[in-house]
Amino acid sequence: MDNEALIYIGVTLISGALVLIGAPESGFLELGVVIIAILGMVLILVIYFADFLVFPIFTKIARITIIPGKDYSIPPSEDAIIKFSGGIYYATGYLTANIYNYVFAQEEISEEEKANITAAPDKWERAVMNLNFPFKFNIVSTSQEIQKYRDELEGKRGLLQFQYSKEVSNSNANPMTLRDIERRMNVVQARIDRLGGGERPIDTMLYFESTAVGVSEKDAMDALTTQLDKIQTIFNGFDLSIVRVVGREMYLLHKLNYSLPDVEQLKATFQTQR
Amino acid sequence: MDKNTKMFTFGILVLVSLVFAILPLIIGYAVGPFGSFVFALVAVIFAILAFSVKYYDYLVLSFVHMKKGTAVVSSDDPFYMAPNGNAVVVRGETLVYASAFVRIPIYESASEMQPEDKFEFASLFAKVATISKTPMKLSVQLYIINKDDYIRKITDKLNQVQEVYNQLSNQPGTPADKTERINGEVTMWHNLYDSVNKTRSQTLAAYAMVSAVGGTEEEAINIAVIRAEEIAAGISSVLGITASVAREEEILVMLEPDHMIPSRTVDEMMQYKSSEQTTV
Repeated sequence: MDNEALIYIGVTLISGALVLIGAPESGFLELGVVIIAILGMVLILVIYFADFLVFPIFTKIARITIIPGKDYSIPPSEDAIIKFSGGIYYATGYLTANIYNYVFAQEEISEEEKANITAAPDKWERAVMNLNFPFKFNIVSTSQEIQKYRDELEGKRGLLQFQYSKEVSNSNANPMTLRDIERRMNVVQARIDRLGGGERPIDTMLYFESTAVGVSEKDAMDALTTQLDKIQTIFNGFDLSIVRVVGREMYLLHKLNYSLPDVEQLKATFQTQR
Repeated sequence: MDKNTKMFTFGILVLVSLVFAILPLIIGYAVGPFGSFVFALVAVIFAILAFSVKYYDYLVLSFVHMKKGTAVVSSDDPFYMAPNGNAVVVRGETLVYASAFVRIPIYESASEMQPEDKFEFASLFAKVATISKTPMKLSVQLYIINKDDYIRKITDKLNQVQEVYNQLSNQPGTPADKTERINGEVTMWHNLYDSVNKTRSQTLAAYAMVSAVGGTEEEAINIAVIRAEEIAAGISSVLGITASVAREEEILVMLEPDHMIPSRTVDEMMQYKSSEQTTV
């Protein structure tokens, strides 16, 4: 949780707490006030952790359509951006494409991993050949400060070396613990070596985008859902976590088509993978 | 909304919330239980609205001015093309944002590569993602080729040859082999027209996008184009290709859905769908 989030949550929860403190003033309605205050605070936390659930429910119930720009609209379901042009509806939707964490844990390229990388271009082409509709695969990357990253890694390495020497000097040294610490030291050292080799550390965000057409908004959105489901099925073999993007994040991904924010704004808006 | 405006809006809303939260403690005896209840309810609502500003600052004013269930964030075009056609421009509240695009022409298929070439290609492509110091978007896009002009040329030629055939057929004394030859040409253009129309032609294109911000449009565009040219040079060096800054129609294909899916293809799809519905 960053400082900004702390301020937002802290101050609004203080307001909720004050409502709870003032509840006895409501006499026989005290229980109602307590329930409202607790529900309010829970809703604030739910919005913080999962606004993609709350906001679409709100817009669906209130039947709110959002107009992000000329000829564009976001329906109450908040799961597509619709463009109406030349009598045709174009529906665009998004899918995350997050790499599973166990892939990042790999630092030394084992032969099996090398085989996977070698097979990747073929897998990609086969996947694309099976998709007969427009789609985009996007990688948004931001460079890290090399020195800052190196310092972090060297700090980690130092800590691991300390743990290792402490374990070695232990009369009942556990061989499995020693092996685990050695493996983690190798992982950190491999990253330091890659920095030394000229590679720049980056944060990345990967996502798919696809567009479907229809004579009506419903037709276009149904076609879009079919297309996104197909992308999800076909790219499942790529070690990617693929989930449909809705709500606020969908709107922000749509805006990324036209301009990229600076590094701070990007990190404040999206979670990236290093 | 910029950061200061966002914090200001949050501050106002949370202040209102705190005031209503404290009021029952100060004047609860005067307003009674119902009054205190209403104050508490208003305080909670404003607290939720205040927190919502963190994520939905772009919707705050739109919701205030909402009519008939429609919240308008903007009624302007999402972007406009730079005068030179080498970037797109988005106007913010006080700043101007420009984005330039770099075409990455890769014409080699994995089926043409040896295993060690595939490994190297995958590694080099990963290296391309680290080229830019500022945020960069790498995209690979499958889109439908616009064959409208090509099909129009075939149709014109077909009509021309058909006209000649009709004239010769109606002309007495025309040699049979000449009529036969023209008929063959009509059939050839017909077959070509059917063949080109039968399937959609698709193409895979890769491109990079970078953005820049400036006080004026010219400043933002210049910085964006310079960054794009640097990236084009870097990508060309890494992948051994000639990357270049994209212009106008190339950019529109990347951004606009109606350019990504040509109108003729849409017409075909609509006809196919309506024929399916008629059959059912």
